[in-house]
Amino acid sequence: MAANAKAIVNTPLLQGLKQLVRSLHTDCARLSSFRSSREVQPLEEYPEVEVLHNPPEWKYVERLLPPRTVPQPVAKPAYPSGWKPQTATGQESGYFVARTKNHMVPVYLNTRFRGQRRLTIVRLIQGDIWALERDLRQVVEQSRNGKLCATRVNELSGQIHIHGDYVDLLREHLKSKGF
Amino acid sequence: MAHLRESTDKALKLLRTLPRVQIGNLRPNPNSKQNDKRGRAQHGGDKHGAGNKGSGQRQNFMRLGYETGNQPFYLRFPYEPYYKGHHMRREYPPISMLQLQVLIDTNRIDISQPIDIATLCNSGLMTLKPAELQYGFQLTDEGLDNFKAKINIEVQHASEAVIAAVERNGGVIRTAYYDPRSVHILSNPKKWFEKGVPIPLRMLPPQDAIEYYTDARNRGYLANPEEISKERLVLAQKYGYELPRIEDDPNYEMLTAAKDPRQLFHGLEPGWLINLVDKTIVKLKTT
Repeated sequence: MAANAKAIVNTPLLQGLKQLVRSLHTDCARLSSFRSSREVQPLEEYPEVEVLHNPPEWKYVERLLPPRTVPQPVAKPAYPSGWKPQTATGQESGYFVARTKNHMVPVYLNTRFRGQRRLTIVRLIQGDIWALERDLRQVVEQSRNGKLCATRVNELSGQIHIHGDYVDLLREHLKSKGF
Repeated sequence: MAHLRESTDKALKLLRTLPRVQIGNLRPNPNSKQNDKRGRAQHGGDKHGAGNKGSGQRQNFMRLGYETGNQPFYLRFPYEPYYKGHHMRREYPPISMLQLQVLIDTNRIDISQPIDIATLCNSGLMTLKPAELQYGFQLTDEGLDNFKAKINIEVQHASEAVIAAVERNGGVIRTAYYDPRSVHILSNPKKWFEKGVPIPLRMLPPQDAIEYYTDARNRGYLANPEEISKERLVLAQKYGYELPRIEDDPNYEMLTAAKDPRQLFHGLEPGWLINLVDKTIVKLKTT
């Protein structure tokens, strides 16, 4: 009996009737869920398609796929943006400041207390962090006309915190030293 | 001093026998917890901060902004609708020319191909949120003097100086409209291809954006191409540079590549279905 009822439900006539009822109703077929989505039609109702293997247009699809890793920068005669590739290895200076995964110099500004306290943070330092701290403090004190500058060294995490906003200054300084 | 040392020794001795400080034997500081019961009458009852008589005692809190009969402050001045329709306004997050040059210098975008929303979002450094009414990128003029790349770029908004900076280097810039659904697709094409849905048609701009995108001075994608080439020359004379001839350029094909106004991706037509697993394209059979 149940099988009989199922057969009645699935007749094309009844399906057509359902579609007609839906088209007579004011609310449209919302395709957001399985229940309200458009019913599958017989295959003849659909337009004919062809499946192309290795089509010439596939190069346009490949162009739209993102790279899986951050690409390595290529050597160029000039970099108009001011970005420079890293050249120093840290052999002569005794310390090394690594680039970030995006090939940028790891100098950041940290603002606290609604901009009242500004900290310049240099990250990813390896080697003699105290020598780098002396160098950076000298650069900052020179720009402050000899006034002292407060720094904090975190040897474990390889970070130097400098009181005040000297991000551009230190970034340019590190780039000029090849880091 | 002897008695002091004695008590210290006692305390230390006691401390050695005590268990360690841990979560099981901690309790709140004295008087740090407030009693949530309000006593009445002899059980500590008084005014409890509500004062004597009137609306204060009855805790009759007036509605926000009500000034007990005065014309309230928020109604005292004429209405100026700064934010009228803010929930409908289109937002174009900025990208500066400097940022674009950094992307090019660090090899994050490929300038041997036309640049559009998908290129910028696929660099992984920029995102678009169409649900927050972000309709694409605008190119801003910061660092335009140091911009040296020859590119074919399509953005959603650009100022005159930016257009001049791109064209001075022999590049091509175009402003184009994408509806939110198209922006959603272009902001992560790979994820969208994985849905296995045919590429939809791109919608035409709404009525208030048509004027911008049909204007040749904005390099709109719906403008007359002949007027655009005329405006390129006009802008070159206005800003005082010699317009490089892109007709003679070896990359002429790339520089003049443009999408159809109803097309979403370069080289892929609406209605096609991309299968990333089998690397196939499903098309309508042409008879």
